[in-house]
Amino acid sequence: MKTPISLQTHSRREWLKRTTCGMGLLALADLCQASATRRSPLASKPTHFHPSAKRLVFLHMRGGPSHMETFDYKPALYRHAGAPGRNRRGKNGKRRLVGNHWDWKRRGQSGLWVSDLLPHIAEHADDLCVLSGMHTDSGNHTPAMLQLHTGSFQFARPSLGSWVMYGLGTENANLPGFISLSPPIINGGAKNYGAAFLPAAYQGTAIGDIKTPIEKARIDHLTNQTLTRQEQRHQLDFIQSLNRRFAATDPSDSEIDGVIESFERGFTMQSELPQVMDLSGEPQPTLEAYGIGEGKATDNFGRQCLLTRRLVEAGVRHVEICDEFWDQHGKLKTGHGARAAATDQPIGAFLSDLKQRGLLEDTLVLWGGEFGRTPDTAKENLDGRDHNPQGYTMFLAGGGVKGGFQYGATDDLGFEAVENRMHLHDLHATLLHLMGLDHERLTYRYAGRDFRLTDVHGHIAKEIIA
Amino acid sequence: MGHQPSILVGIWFLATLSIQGGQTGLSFDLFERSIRPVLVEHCYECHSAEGKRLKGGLRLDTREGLRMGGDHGPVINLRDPESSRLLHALRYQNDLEMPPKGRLPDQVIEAFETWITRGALDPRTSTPTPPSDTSRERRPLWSLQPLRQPGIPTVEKADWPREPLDHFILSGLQARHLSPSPDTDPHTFLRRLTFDLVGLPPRPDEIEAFVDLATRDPDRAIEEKVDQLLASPFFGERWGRHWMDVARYADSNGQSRDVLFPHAWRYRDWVIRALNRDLPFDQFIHHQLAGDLIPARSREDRQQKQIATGFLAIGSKPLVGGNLQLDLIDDQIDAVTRSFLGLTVSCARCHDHKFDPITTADYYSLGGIFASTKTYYGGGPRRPKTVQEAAKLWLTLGDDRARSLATLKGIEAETNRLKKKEKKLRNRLKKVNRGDRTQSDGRQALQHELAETSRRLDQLSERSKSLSLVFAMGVEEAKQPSNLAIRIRGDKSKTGDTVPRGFLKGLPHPVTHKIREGTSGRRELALWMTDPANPLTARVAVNRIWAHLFGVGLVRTVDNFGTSGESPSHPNLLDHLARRLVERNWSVKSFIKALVCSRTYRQASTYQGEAHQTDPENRLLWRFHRRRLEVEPIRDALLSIGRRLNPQPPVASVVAAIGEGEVGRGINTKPLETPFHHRAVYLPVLRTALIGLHKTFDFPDPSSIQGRRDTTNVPAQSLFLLNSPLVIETTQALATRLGELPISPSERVRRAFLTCYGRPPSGDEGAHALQFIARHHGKGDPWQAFCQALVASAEFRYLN
Repeated sequence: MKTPISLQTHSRREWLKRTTCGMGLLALADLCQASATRRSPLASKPTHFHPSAKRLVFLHMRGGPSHMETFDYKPALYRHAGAPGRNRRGKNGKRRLVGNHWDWKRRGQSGLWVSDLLPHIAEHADDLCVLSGMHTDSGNHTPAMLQLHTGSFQFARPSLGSWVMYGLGTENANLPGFISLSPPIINGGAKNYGAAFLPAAYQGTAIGDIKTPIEKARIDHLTNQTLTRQEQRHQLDFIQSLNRRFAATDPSDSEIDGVIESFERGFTMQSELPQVMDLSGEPQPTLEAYGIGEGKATDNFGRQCLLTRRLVEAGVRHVEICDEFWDQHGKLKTGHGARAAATDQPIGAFLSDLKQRGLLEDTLVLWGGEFGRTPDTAKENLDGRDHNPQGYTMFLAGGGVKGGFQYGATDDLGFEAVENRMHLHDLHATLLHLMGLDHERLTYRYAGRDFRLTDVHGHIAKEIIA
Repeated sequence: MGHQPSILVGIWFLATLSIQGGQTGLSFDLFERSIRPVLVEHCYECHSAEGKRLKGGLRLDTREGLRMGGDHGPVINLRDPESSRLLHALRYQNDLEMPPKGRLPDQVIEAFETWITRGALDPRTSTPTPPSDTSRERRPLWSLQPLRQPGIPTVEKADWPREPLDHFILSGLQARHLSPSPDTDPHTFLRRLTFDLVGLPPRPDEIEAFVDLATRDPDRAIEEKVDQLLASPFFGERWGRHWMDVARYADSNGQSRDVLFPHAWRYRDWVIRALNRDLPFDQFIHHQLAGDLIPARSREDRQQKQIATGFLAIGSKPLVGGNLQLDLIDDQIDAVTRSFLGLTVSCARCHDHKFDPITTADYYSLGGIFASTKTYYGGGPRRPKTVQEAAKLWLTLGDDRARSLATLKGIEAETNRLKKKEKKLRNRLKKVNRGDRTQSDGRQALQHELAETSRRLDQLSERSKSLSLVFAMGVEEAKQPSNLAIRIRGDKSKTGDTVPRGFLKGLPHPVTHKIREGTSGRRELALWMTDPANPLTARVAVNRIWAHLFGVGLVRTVDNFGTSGESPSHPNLLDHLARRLVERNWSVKSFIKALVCSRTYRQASTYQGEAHQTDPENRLLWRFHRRRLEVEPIRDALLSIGRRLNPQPPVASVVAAIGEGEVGRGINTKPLETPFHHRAVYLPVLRTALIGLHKTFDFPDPSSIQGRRDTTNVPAQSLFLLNSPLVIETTQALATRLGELPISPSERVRRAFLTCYGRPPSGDEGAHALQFIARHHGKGDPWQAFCQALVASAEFRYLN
């Protein structure tokens, strides 16, 4: 990047002084925003190539939703329900194949298979890019969650969202650029949205946690108990005058400019973030579409979805929202039924809403869990499925992926991915690619070597790109 | 062979020709006609740069690759062609089968035999993989060269230097026609010095006393102040935290199972004590690597040395999903080599280091040392139910530890025996009850015996509880020291040669500390680390200290002295300082004293246009680097100005109060919510659940070794300063205290500036402040709003 010498060796302030020719400093400040934000670690940054998605939303179905109950139609499996399954190493249980719990239909123009478990999402079949050849390395929740989020379960690595922030910066500096709504406290906890060795500015901001309904979740230090906004502005003006005096002692130091800027951003965030978080102004039909209402099973997830729409609309780069546990080793029918009852309608409404607002074009939506489930069970009543990292399904929508498209497949029974297999590293590489980032060039030097989200792995699934 | 004579004769002929005629075009015909096409068609898929994936580390698309072989060694042997593994593979011999899809025709295999017998001539020129940084020349690595003894440079401005180091700095400046900055004013200097040495702001009375003396006799004022601060117990708390960044200190395991470390605090306290009593830095290393193997003067001393080895145990390990032993060793190698040597040896777990002279064999020979060490890392997610179980997870301290453990073992054995007996008695009693009623006498006896057994069991359980053992994290020698086999490409299941335990052979220093039979070699490793001939350890140590005082290291990559790190700005000065440290008995305090008493440290941080043009990064130190404070001094300063700081260290730690458990899995969180007013170094560090303040102000990731912290300015920090209860309460306390003083408003403003910035207001600052206070309306106290503004603005958290 070629920058005029004056910009490299002098601060924005000094540069402003030299070039203003009598114009007011504040008036020029907006004109020079590009040069001002250049110094903030969160400033918007150029992509490696033209992106098809500007924002990324991850609808995290924690616990491992079953592909055979959702998007991976397995008639052979359903036909052979009760037939012997695969015994696992070291376990002599008599495993048997689990049959069909929900009816299946071809949906939309594309004829994509979606089961009746997810009727609302099914209505968007023509926008879905279903990845049925997913596989990952661990069949335990925590390592699998960490690998899903950071690419590694053995070492502390930056999360996907932190890499995205590091690569792209934020579109709206008045809001956090990377938000995780209701993240779990266990299963790696904050590591799943942490920056590890990347600068802390790139870490995700958690709002609430899995045990707190999003309606009750609060962000730290967002409100002042004693001062009105006007009074605080008066105080802030005094603070900024002190800051400017301090900055003036060294015109070569841009760090204090960063301090001054961070105060203005923080002050705006105090009013802007609660506004974005406040759903009370949403019209009743919208609330109903998302399933928001006291006592409704969809209330909490509906709120998260609507909040996510408002956040991405306001320019937040990456939002992850998290559902409770899709982990039904037993009572699959009621368990998955309950999870779907809580999430299907909100997700359907979310996709409709994004589309209607023209946001789906450049917002990439990812749905799925840390792994899938096994076609068989050791349960006598054939109502349960166990962890399956060998083959499972996630879906993408919007953000430049093909709609009504199924990529990859598991074997006839759903045990493992056999066709167009896509490892998590491949998914990460593809997500970054869609965001305009080359996963091999998005590196950070730490401990003497360049680190990547995908380590030494990752193939971009070009076939899924529209 | 017999069925294709014509071809073979031809091959013989050509091959003979090639040898006689040297490497002429003709001589490669055999290769071109019979070998290359086969390699391309059947082998390149897995054994070339273009291939989908490289198998076995073997490349057959270059001459070098073919000659060098793969993970399992060479594939052709020119001296003994029959033993060439390439031939075995082609013939499907010795468990080798290549290509895997099917054996090639005999005549093809024979062509290979001939080709190898005749010298395996290969015309291909290799296309080596370009090094990742082509601009870097392959020069011997500067940091591995022996320490030099540079003379003190002579300088023109002979009255400027106070310490030898000033000569080096000044001569560097003069070489670029620059002058050092003038001394800073006493107010700024005292604030700088106090934060740097003890991590707290100076109090107004201390400021006034210092300024008074400094205006008359600056050298004396400084020296006295330095001595006083170095003797303060706060010193160890400030500098201990610097070391804890490097030592990846935490109170929990992190990663997927964030198991608590309720005993980690003993290591934390050891570090702080070691710095406070100025334990020489070489011994500081010895104790952390091998404290358990060093003779102790007393029982207390022995415990302290055991605790020091916590350094090797407090890392973050994958408790599930990895290979615990190898991952633990990897953490230990990484911690030891990066913290003390500034080398990233852990790269060599899977391959020879790409840039530095460190081989996989080096890695596994170091690894053998830790494989011969038993590490008490706190165990997995399963919580210990008994003292005996706990004693297996934690290092048990004390001289009578062996006896206690033996007693415990006895109790355990006796308990097991009695439990079995109890079961038998119950069964017999059942039978008797069911059977003949006439045996009532027998029943009574049985009942009596059963009651007696149960009573004994209760007694034993009481006794085992009363044997209170003191636990820590740390290591001791394994029962059976053993060497480690190389894992090919880091794959735990693919073992290569076993390598003897030892150190880094690439380091050009001849001293060997022979590892004695039957020991792990940790003691020798420690001695080798601090041997005067080792060029790295002292360089890395002095550079770390320098970086904390001057803002950046002479080598800016403080954790990396390898090829991919930076080179020093003042190589001679670095060596001079390293020698000084070693020659003065590795005393950290006296070293720090020399740095802060230097003229270089005394410089103002003021901007100078001309110098800035020449050296915009201030690498030559023409001024003091202005820098932001870390989270601990920011937080401690807040508590301190509000008189809310408890200067006493806490007993144990917050996590010790919680006890055994795992983050997010039903631990008692009450201790975490209790107000905590001790110094920040004692705050709990849970790896997956850092406290908000730490996250906001760039606390380093405690799972990684990080000798240099980031500084970011983000809105979350301003929100903390504007709205957090901690800031509001402490500034209210300051405002109230000022209000109680019988002084004028402008004097109050002066005190507030002194308290927060270590200096009185200058120019119109005082008037400006009074104006703000007069105009501030709101529910609260305008003086609080004013004090908060002082704290929130940049100067509070920056050092000038």
